[in-house]
Amino acid sequence: MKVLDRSDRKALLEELEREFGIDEIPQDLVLVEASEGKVRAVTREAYETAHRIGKVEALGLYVLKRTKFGLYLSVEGSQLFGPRLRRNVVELNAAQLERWASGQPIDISELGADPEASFVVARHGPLFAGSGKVSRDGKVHPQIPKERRTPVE
Amino acid sequence: MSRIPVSEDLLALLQSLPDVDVDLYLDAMTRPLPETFRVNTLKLPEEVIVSFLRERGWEVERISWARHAYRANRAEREELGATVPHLFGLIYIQGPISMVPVEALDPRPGERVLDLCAAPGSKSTQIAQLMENSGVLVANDASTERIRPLISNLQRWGVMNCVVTLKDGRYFGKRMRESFDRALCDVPCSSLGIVMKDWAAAKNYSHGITERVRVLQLSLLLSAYDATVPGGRVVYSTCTIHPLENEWVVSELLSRRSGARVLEFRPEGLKVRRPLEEWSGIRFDPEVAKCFKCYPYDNGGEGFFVALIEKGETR
Repeated sequence: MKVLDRSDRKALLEELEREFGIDEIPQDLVLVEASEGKVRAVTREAYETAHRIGKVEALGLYVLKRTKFGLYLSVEGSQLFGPRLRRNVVELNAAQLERWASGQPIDISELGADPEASFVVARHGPLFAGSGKVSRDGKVHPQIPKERRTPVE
Repeated sequence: MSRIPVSEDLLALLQSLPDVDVDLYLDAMTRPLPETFRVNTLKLPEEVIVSFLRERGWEVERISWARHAYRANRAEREELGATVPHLFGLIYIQGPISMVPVEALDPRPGERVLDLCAAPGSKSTQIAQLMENSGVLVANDASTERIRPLISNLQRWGVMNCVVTLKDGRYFGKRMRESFDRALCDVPCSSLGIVMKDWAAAKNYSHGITERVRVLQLSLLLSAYDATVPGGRVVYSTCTIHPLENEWVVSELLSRRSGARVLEFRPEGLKVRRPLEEWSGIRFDPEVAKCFKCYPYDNGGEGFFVALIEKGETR
């Protein structure tokens, strides 16, 4: 795992600003790049403890993933950055939240998402529900890990 | 009264325990646990989550002995683990009595806390919640199979101050002495307090299981104790009713670490019992009387044993 230094953080923040209007990454969090472009956020004290222990299995929270299409926020990443999101956020009603949670795609027009965006973050009132990929098939595909999806009836 | 298949050794154990009502114990093991859960204040305010649940038709009521804990009375019996609130990390499904050890530990924001046998993460997420993502939580487990669910549950719970390790629990007492303010030592056990979750535990139980596991339990408790700073606190807990895995382990710690003392802790609204003073010719340290246990039929939940131990200045 690689710790993001000041210039890495600046570049990441620029990307977050461009996609979601996020203008700040909490200074007290250490960001580490894990496998597959995933970035984890961890408190400084936990990071220092991990450094002391040496071999650890996981550290902090997976908050975002970099892909060739841009970056998207995990469910917990969307909840961490939720209050700072200014762009590409779509509001789900109760029925849409159920579909979203099961991983089913929802029409771009139904959500009012920007068709030019790569990813959007979904929310249902105060609950941020992770990101969806805006696809050329005219749908938003929720990026909910398979093991966290509700079963489809 | 329906019965579950029980091994001869378990029946002999039950009959040897002076405070157990065997019929009530066996009957309790046929009854499912109530649907209980904690709400995640790391993600949203408690009242917002409770409103969200009520909007979905859930009737919920507070549990008195654990913070942020509720019992669900739902009309629809969909599996709780497959619901939207669970999948987005707003609730954590946990047995009602299993929430007690962390309440006894009472971790605070800013502290260094060790969860020695952490998988699958119920108690780790409870600890993290009370720490409010401040300080550091080391969640360890020795099982490669169980470490994945631990990581995934900490993720779902939104925990940022955690380090997950895959180590023999005895590592911490040797290599990280006096490094933690508090430690939870919720050890592997014969699981005789949670047979309602897995009847095989009753059917397959043998005295040999306890003989093997109590040595490990003691070494894990010694490790947790040694990893804790003087003045720090350790909670030792099991979900079994066997005195050799409970009273004996704590008694042995007290004889091997002279600074250790047991503190009184009584969870609010829960029926608890005093531990045994002696069993099968073995007399336990009188301090053990300050621990508590509950049998599965006491509260309509799991059977548990909990010891809250303070580490003194001398060893």
